[in-house]
Amino acid sequence: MKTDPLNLRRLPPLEPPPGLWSAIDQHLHQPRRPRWRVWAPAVAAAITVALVLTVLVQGPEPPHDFAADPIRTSPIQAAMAQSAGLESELRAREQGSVNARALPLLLLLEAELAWVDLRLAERPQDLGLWQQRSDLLAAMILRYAEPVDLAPWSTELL
Amino acid sequence: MDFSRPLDDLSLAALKKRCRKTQERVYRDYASTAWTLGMRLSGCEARAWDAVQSGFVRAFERIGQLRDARAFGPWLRRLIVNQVMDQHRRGFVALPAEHDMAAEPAPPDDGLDLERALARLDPLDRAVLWLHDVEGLTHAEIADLTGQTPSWSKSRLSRTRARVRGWLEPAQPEPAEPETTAMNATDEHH
Repeated sequence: MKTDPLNLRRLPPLEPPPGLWSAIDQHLHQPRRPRWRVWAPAVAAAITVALVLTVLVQGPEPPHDFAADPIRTSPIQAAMAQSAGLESELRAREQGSVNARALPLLLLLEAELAWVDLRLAERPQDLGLWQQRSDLLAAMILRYAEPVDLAPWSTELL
Repeated sequence: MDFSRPLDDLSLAALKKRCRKTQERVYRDYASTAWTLGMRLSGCEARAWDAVQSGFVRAFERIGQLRDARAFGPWLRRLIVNQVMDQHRRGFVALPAEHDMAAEPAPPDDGLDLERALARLDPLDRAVLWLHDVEGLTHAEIADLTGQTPSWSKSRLSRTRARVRGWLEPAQPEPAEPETTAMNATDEHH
């Protein structure tokens, strides 16, 4: 009886390198900074830069006119506030269950968010990046808001 | 242990408490299966390391979201496959040309062994073939993982099988005439 040459199951199982568990263990148990401590320096730097730019462009502030609009926020300040609000909402939602089908996208969004945070650390005054950050957070919140369903393993509740 | 073997409820509870010893035991149980999957899909130790490490880390970090212990294996497999697919999509770990199996010269006439033939495939072809033939995933599940359609998975599998068979089964040699001559010579000698 002729055996199928394309029988992949006859390939032997492979053994992982000895250092792999150490790398996983270290990643899991190393002390890590909370997320707010990662992006808070970027936010602080952005506020500082925004204030300096405001002073340089507009000159010294005129005496405060109490009759005028009480608060004027720059677009970047508004974008930062929106981002912070969405971040709080996401933190609250991610404590619950999530639909398994949403997980791949969530992982991708999380990676994108980390990438945007890194770029914000370099360019904290970039309004586009702050808007991008808000869009990513909003997309993640939507995924967490999807109803959880029970299904075979591929869509198993995670 | 393969991915279909379930995790017991006690282990799941311990994992949810971030018990380090249980994490290590569960890792040891699934390590060979996970590493084999990572290596077969990525075809490269560095990429497999990245995918398997990320898969286990995400599985243990998000274990609180898993309700059914039986789903752990399939879930881990999905996380690892996602990592490999993600590497492929980003392409940031692409090997230099000198390490590209597809860029190697044509196989010799005596064909390739199965392992080399698998390594020679395009990453997506390799993933479709392995996930279907070894992991037993349906075309719908492969389509879901790769972001394609089931019909794409079917045609890709069919084409990939044909290619690999071509590498594994070299052309049959022509019947050798000198052998007959030699036999006659021996007969004459007797």
